[in-house]
Amino acid sequence: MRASRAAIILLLILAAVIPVTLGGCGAKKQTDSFFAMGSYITQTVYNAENTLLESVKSDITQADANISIRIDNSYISLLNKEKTAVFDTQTYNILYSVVEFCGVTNGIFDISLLSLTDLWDIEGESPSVPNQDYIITALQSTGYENIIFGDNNTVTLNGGVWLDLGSVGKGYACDLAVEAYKEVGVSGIIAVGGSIGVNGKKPDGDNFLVGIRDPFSAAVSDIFAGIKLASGFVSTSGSYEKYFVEENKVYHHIFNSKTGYPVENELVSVSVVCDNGMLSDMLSTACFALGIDDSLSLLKQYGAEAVFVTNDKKVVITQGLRFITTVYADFEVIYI
Amino acid sequence: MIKLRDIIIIICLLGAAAGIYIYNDKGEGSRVQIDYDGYKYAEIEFMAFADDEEQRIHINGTTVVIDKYGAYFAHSDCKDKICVRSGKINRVGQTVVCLPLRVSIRIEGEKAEFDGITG
Repeated sequence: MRASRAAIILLLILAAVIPVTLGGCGAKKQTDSFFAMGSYITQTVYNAENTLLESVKSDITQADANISIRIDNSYISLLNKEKTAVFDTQTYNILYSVVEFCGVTNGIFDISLLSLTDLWDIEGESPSVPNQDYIITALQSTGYENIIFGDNNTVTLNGGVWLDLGSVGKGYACDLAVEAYKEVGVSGIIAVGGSIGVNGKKPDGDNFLVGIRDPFSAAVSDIFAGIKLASGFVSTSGSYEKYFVEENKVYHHIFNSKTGYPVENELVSVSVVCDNGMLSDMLSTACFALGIDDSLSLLKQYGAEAVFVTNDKKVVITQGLRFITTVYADFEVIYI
Repeated sequence: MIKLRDIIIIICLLGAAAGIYIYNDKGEGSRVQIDYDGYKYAEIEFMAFADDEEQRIHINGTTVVIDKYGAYFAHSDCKDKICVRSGKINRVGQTVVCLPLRVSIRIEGEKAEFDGITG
């Protein structure tokens, strides 16, 4: 019959064309960018209610107002000033789990180094290498053991220490976003600076592809590897973005909490993949400070995976990322 | 019954669809969006620019230059100059931000090469 033949052809035409148009623009894609957590934040979600992006933005802005040291009346600023403060439960829980992690790493990761980083002025106008005596003095006012948790969300600082949660705020913002996407069953990705959170797959059925910047290039367009990420988080710590040069020596922003000088080992960057955003931030910083060998047991403890880049251009990838990571650049690749 | 002619038509259509898909997959952007303080300030189609054409946009102490091949921060009053060092971008999804001055440039287009960048 002629009519049915026409119908079959029409259906086949639709079958051929629909996936193409849907992959491109059929799914409703929404993107929003704003500034918080000292970073540029971009969220992209598919087929979501119009209110989702706004509500995540407001959650993140509120969390920033609670933990940022750039905001005068945040809980952390109050604590730094008064040395004792009563937190809301959310901020108390964040600080508690961060300090717990500081303990797990024996202070390799430490959020109480503000006296030291202020002395180096690494993010300020004129960073320079301080006199060794000043470094020793500054180190005396550091140490996560000086953060004391009391009853009723009370936190006290001893030993003249100052806190900065800047190193975990990005990951925490990713946690807030992914939690919200999950709650309403929406696929999406958030980038808070270089910290990424992902929920679900893209409308075309692919996993989200996260590029890792080439640590040897200043150009943001240089990507040396990509990770196809099913739901999860990635964060990168490296010596290449914030640094200064003095007498031909490079000084970067990740400090050895024992010596008071920038960490020196074989690494130029490490990207950590795990199932929690704040943890991926903390692990990437800790692994950068630990070096490859000492990082492996810590990663294992948290079920996390990593891509390390060494200063002699080797890429070391843990087994769990072996089949979802592609290295585009001409680096030697080693799986461990 | 489906005839040979119909099958040929169908194959052609599938081929055309695949062609469109591959074209979309190239990842080259056609326009740049400039945001200030998280809000869209300008959107410029650069693909249609002439070879020697360039547009300079001055916004909050930064100068963004757009030519046929992409966009970059030519100047910024900020102290770290990370935005200027970041170089030119031209592929969908690539972004450069001047964090101190809250200006960002992002390449827009149908299909991004990467959904997010870490580092």
